[in-house]
Amino acid sequence: MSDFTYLPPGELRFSLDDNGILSLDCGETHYDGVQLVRLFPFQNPEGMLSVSVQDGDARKELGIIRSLADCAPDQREALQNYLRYKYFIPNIEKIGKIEEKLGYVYMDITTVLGRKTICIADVTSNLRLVGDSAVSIIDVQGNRYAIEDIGKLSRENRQKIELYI
Amino acid sequence: MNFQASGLPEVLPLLKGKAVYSLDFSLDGRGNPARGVCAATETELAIFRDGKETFRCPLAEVEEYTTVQLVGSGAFGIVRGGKPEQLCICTQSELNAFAELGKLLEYHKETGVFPEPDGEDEVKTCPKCGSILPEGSSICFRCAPKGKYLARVIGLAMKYKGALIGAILATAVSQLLWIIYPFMQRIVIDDYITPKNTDYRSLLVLLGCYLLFPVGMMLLEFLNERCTTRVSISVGRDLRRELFEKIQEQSMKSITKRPSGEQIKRISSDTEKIQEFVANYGKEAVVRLLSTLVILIVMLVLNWQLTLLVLIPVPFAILATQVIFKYIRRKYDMVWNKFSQSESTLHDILSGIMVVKTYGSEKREIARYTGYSRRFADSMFKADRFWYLFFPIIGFVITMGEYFYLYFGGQQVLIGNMTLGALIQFAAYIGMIYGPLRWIIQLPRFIAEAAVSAAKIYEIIDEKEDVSDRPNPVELDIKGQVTFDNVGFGYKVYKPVLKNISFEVKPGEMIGIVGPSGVGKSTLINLIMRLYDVSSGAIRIDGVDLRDISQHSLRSQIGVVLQDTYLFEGTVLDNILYAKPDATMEEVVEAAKTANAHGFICKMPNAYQEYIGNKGYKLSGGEKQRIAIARAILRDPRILILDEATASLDTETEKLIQEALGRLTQNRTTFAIAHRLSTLQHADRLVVLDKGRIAEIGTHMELLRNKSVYYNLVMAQRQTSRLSNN
Repeated sequence: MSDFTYLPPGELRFSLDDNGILSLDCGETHYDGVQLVRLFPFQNPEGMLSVSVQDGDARKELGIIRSLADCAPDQREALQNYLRYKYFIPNIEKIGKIEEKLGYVYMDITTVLGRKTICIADVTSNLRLVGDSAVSIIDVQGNRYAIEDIGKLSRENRQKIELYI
Repeated sequence: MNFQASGLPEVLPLLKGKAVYSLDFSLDGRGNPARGVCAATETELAIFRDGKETFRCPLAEVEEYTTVQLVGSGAFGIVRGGKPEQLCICTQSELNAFAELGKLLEYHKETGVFPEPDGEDEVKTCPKCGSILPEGSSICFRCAPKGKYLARVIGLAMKYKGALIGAILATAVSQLLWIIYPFMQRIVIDDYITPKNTDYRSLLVLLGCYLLFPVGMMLLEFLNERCTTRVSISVGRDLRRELFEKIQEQSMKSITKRPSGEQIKRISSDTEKIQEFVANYGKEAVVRLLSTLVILIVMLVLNWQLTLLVLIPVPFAILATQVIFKYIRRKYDMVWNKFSQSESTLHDILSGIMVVKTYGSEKREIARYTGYSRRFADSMFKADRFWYLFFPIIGFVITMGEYFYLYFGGQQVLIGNMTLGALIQFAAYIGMIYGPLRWIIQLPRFIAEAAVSAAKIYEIIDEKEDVSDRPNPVELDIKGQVTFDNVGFGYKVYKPVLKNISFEVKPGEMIGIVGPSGVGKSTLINLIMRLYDVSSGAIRIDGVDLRDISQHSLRSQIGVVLQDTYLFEGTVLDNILYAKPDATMEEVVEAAKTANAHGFICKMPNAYQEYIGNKGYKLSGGEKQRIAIARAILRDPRILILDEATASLDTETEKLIQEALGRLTQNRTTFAIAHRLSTLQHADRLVVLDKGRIAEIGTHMELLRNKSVYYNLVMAQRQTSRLSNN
């Protein structure tokens, strides 16, 4: 039998400290080191979040948050902040020069962290269209980047990326 | 690796003492960009964010340093008072340095010494352009000196100097004949095909010579082709051999960092490209450039004004071609991309056609494939439209020169400044010069493509071996004593798989390695085979460090039976003999009998010489396994490794294999991994791994009495088997 449980947002009290540690008070119980996992990170980044805590050597899933929209605004903010650093995937705002050398793609990009040249190996696996308009990129160092909506890029930038998707 | 944070000066006044190690980190606990510094002095560990202290703790209080990889970031922390504490968040690219910092501080905790960082960056960057080098790559593909690699290919071709010079001479003479040919035409027209000429004899002699030209050129072409083919095929063969040898000698770490498809591509298609370059472009480039130059000089001598007029459109055409080529290449890259997506979708659907049928999803799959196919067709249509629009225009621009020639040349013949023969000779040269010119325009692209392939090939050939024999390695006659001395290992620096592994195995002892999946059991045996080198500590065989023993000597005395047995294409005999090619027929049959394989081999029409197909597809899993055991028996190894050798077999086959393994393990040091713990009950000792460390060591009964990790694993398995029996 399945132990699928949606957590009642009203009974949960999350808090996030400055070092990014998420805690949870649920009824009488207090949990530290709570982890959230996006079960469908592209399709539903703000919902279907698995909540787990450490239980001895293993992690125990307490249940699933159906949608962040169901949570109180301060709770939603804490969880969004936690998810922001855990899934730190800078959005690519601008694409500069793209060069293909020996099967590796070098791409000059601008994100919230500034300008950078990334190197992508096996571009068919590591640069993928997700859904209709989002693009997921993983560079040779394992850094992840996203283009949340290729429609928002300039025409010139869009043409550059369209070559690979 | 540099352990001096760029943000250190800002926080230096807040530190108590000099920073021994410091690192920058770029995120705060809310995922926002931050200027963070993590610094370790001789006495404490401190964290600063945006210039403010957020954490400080004496090093003496830290029990463990932790680095955790998250989805797009990482977290560095400590364990203090038995409680884990997360201290800072870093980006993925900063994570390696934090893992290294953790290791350095762990070392300090154990020894009281702050070790010097090894200075080698986990992530290598190009010293010239600063780009990150792909993992396992030593050259920057952005600024790789293409000429250097092509020069090496030319150097390789020079090994076949005779044939190469023959090809160049044959082509050069052939080109020279082509240049003389119009000159003869001119003599025939101007001196003999004139009104009232009666010197038919000379005309016939000249026409006879005329006939000799094609014959001469045919012979020269034959010579050219023969020599060129010899050089290009030999260069391709040499490169393939060198590359294959290098790949065979590489460590598993080097081999697995490139997908096998990529390696096959480098061995086959990149060498093929070089071969093609040598055959069609290398030598040809020299000859065509020279012949173009000679034709140009002849044309200038004949009529320099007309030559210049004819050549006026050429620079424009070259320029236009270069610009358009860049654009059109993108279009055709897009076509290739769409084509490959459509192909891979087709392959995917047809490979899983059984699933498609059983789920009745044919219509959905038709729509999926049609979508990709349509996108491919659209991209092709766009690219072709562009191609057919622009290339005739360029062709027209180039041939504009011919109109100039007809107009101005015709005019000069009419006013008597030029003979008709000279005009026809000139026309022939124009035809001759346009061909090579068009070819020369394309030359940089061909050279670039060949250089890329050459760089890919030489990248592997030049790669430094990470698991290599030391100078004068020991040729050890192994007795079978194996010692693990504080061994640590991780495929990635921030993900240690094995930590502080220490135990000793006596010769002839059978050791079972157990633990939950993913705990590092297979990694442990890979280290014994030295497929990877340990990150810390040492493994010793008969007291000699594994790294001091010659790899050939070590592996020739280790036998392996894995869960997935790989059989090569060929016969049963070929596969058993793989372990000892000089074994006698008696030895082979004896090994097969000991492995309980003789019975089923005899049932096959050609017995030991039965062809078992690619990867042994004609055999069942149990039969393949018994051939692998026979192979191991024939090798007579001193150390035997069994990795899930009896997994996924039915009870009857497992009994046969267990029996065979029982004979095989006698008097040999054996390391066995088995998911089904019952199969390891008879091992002399069991090493139980948990979270990358040794949790306990002992016999089956001792460990059951301990009621710890092993006991729990056995109980969990018994429960599962009871449930499945019910």
